[in-house]
Amino acid sequence: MAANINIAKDYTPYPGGRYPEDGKGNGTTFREDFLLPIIRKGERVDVILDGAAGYPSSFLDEAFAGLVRKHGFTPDQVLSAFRFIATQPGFSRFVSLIENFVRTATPSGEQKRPH
Amino acid sequence: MDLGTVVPAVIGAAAALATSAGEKILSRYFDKSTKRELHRDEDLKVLERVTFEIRDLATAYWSAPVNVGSDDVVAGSIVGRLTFISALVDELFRDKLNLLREIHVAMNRFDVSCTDGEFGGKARVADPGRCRQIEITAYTLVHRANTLRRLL
Repeated sequence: MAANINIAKDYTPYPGGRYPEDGKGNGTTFREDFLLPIIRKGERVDVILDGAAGYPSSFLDEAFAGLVRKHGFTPDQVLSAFRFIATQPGFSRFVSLIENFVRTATPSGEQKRPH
Repeated sequence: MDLGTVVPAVIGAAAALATSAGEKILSRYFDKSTKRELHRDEDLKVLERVTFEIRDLATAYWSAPVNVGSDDVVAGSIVGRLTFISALVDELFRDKLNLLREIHVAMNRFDVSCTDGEFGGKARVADPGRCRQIEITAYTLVHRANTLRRLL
């Protein structure tokens, strides 16, 4: 099993969209292909955020908070399974964004709108 | 030349040299400081300009339902610009972690207002109500950046 997941190299440099029908780089496919196998095995990996051309909130929410909403993991399980690496200028805030999405997600809950 | 003349002359020369060196050091310090302040002001202007570009793109995007022909381009322009200003605020506030954390909160709220929900979705519906939130968070980000910049 890979010791880390580099989103830009292993998945796409242009993440975007929530669902498979939204196209290549969507959050659901990333969650199911990369994150689920790790968390189901109880492993822990680094997720490298650097290198992508930014992350829309919809992608981050679907990929990471989707583990709570769609698969029933607790926020603590999700956040302890993945360590986020963001050294590129401007990318460290994505870590707090992901943590916030995961912590506010509820099982079977709808995605939250900001307003 | 007697000692009574030489000593004051030496002291005078030394004082002049010290003053001159001190002036140079101070001048260099203030030049550097002024340049740094000017760069910060320029960065703030860029931040403001690009934030309002994003605001304009995002309000237009959410005012209408999905347009398969142009949505990907507009979404890319929004995410690309957000990534740019995100790097800009990191550079601007990198020396003060408490300020950086505060600006990240404003930055994330603006990002979420623009790119959460069905952003990038092929079944996206118009959501004009979101435009209000985009306006609020855009102005808040710019105001917060200006306020925090005074604390640098």
